[in-house]
Amino acid sequence: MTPTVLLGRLLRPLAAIVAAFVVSAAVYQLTGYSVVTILRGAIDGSIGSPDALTSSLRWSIPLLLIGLGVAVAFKAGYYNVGGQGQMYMGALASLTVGLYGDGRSAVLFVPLSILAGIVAGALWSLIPGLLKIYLGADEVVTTLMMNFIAVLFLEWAAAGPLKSGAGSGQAATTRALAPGYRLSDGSGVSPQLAILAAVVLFAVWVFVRRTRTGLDIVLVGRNPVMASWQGIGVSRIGLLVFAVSGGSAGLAGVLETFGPAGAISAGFSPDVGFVGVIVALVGGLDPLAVVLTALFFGGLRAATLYMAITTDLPQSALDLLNGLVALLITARLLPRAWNLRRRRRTGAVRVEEDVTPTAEVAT
Amino acid sequence: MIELLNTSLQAGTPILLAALGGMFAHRAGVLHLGLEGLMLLGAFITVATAAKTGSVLTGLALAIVVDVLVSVVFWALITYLDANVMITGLALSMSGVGITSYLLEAIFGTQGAIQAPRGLPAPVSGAHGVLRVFDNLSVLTWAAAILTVISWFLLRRTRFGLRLAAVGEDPFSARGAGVKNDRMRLLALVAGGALCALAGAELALSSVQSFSENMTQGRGFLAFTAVLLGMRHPIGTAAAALFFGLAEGLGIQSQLGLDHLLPAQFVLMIPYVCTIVAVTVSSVLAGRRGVALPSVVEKRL
Repeated sequence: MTPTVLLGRLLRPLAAIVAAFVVSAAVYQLTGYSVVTILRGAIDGSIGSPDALTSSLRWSIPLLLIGLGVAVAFKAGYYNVGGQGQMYMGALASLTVGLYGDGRSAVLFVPLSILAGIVAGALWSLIPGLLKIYLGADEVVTTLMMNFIAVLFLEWAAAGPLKSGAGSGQAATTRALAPGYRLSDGSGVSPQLAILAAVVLFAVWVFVRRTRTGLDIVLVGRNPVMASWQGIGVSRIGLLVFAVSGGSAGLAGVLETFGPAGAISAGFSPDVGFVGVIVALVGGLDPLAVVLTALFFGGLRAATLYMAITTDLPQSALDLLNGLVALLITARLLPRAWNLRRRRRTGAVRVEEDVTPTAEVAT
Repeated sequence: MIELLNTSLQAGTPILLAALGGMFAHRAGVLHLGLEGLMLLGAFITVATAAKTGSVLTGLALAIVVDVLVSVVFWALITYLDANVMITGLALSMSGVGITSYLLEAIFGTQGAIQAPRGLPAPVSGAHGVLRVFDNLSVLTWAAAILTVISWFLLRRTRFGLRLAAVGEDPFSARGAGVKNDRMRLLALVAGGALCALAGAELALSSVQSFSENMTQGRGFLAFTAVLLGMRHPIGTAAAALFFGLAEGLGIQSQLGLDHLLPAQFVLMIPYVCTIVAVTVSSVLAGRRGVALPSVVEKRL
């Protein structure tokens, strides 16, 4: 990748972020908040102090894991947007195993819980995966629906079989894990968590960039018909990426449960699944770039929570910014002239080729 | 039973209105995942304006204007800046949650709910017998029924409808036949925006008469899937939307005391499970008939 190509790739996400900042700043100003105060709050809350940095890292971890999974699935051309539900199922499965262990031998039960979470996330993802690959059901719709189902399932589990007795309905919380099982304290950052996240990152990078299967994924994403002519098992690759992205999101749920939370509340981290998709897209589906974008959005989230406590700025102020970034992220910088000409000829709405390869096998 | 039908009609109306909007977009080849955001925005603007000015009608008009403008921006993004339709739609929904929650706090200083001075008028109230099914339904429920028929006529019996279908199904041929694809998409999205504004207004003003944070709770996505479930046909879409209304009605009723049969959460899962089944079945059927899926049209042209 030459420097100019790299710059070109970075320019678009940066432009989208800047444009989103400008629009939200205008909204803040119009509704009577000072942009300077907000910017200072954002910096203080994300990188301004050791605590702020810890908080940024803590929120980057789930985004990184979900984003990496999304990147792999999107690279193969499968639009798995079910990270939220897969994360919830991972969290639930790991918590169930963890509660069953009930403080007995952490050496056995913690790895077992982690494994259960990854498997649960992968299985939850494989349901729409199988429907997509063998029956052609649109995966955007089915993964979205699986999210809603998982949200309700978590609500039921937290208020029913696993409940702690405190809270009710949508705010229900499960029983807490034995302290000996926890991978970090409430801050959500610890060597164990960092090592786990780094291992996943390294594994995904090696997998995508340095293995035959990784190359197959890219080829399937570019052109599934051509890939199948070249002897690549397109169905196998499809199932694989669904499992990988689901397992990664499941692990995000495990780390949330065994890390900062220690228990599950119904509907925790409600938008982390969608933000994970944005993280992957802003990072151009490149594992290493995803680290940077996960840190950026993690910092944004930390800043949001910080400002809601220290200032009177609504917590939703940065949700707005998040949404606007997502809105602009796949748009071109400028309508290019040659491109306009081509579009006039066909009059068609196209999908951005390099970022979001198509999944459709010509039938 | 009659109460259940009445609740279901009321719960189904916002979904139906948004689904009609989604259907126009879908017919033009745009898989519109932004319905949720537009609906929420419509609900907020209606209630906020009504709370400030005291006029529900002004609120409704302003909601339509804003939703149409946002739809035009959406159209420009996917048409001139080649943004990914699905991601941008999803982002529109996320931004809808963000901006309404933000404005709720910034303007009204609350994270809870704001009250509208009054609800929508109900043409029939105090009915007896079987007619109680139609008791206290807002004027927009009746409008939704009429709009369904109008949509059917527009799409199935006019040149406009034929052209719209051509744009969605085969833009290249449509272009060859002299149809302006971009303009047709714009019209469809504008219609979708206006209908979503109505959907939001109905949601906020029919039973609760207030706006609360993220009050759509996935109804826009249900509307989106009602379109798929109804195979993009106005009557099918309306039936699917009302089915979701029925499922929600059942959920509401179960919260009122059917808990011992099945937890409420599982009742609420029914529409989502049905959607997955329906999407799968329709894809299998379409594959067998050798017809390309509508979504394929969108993904790559």
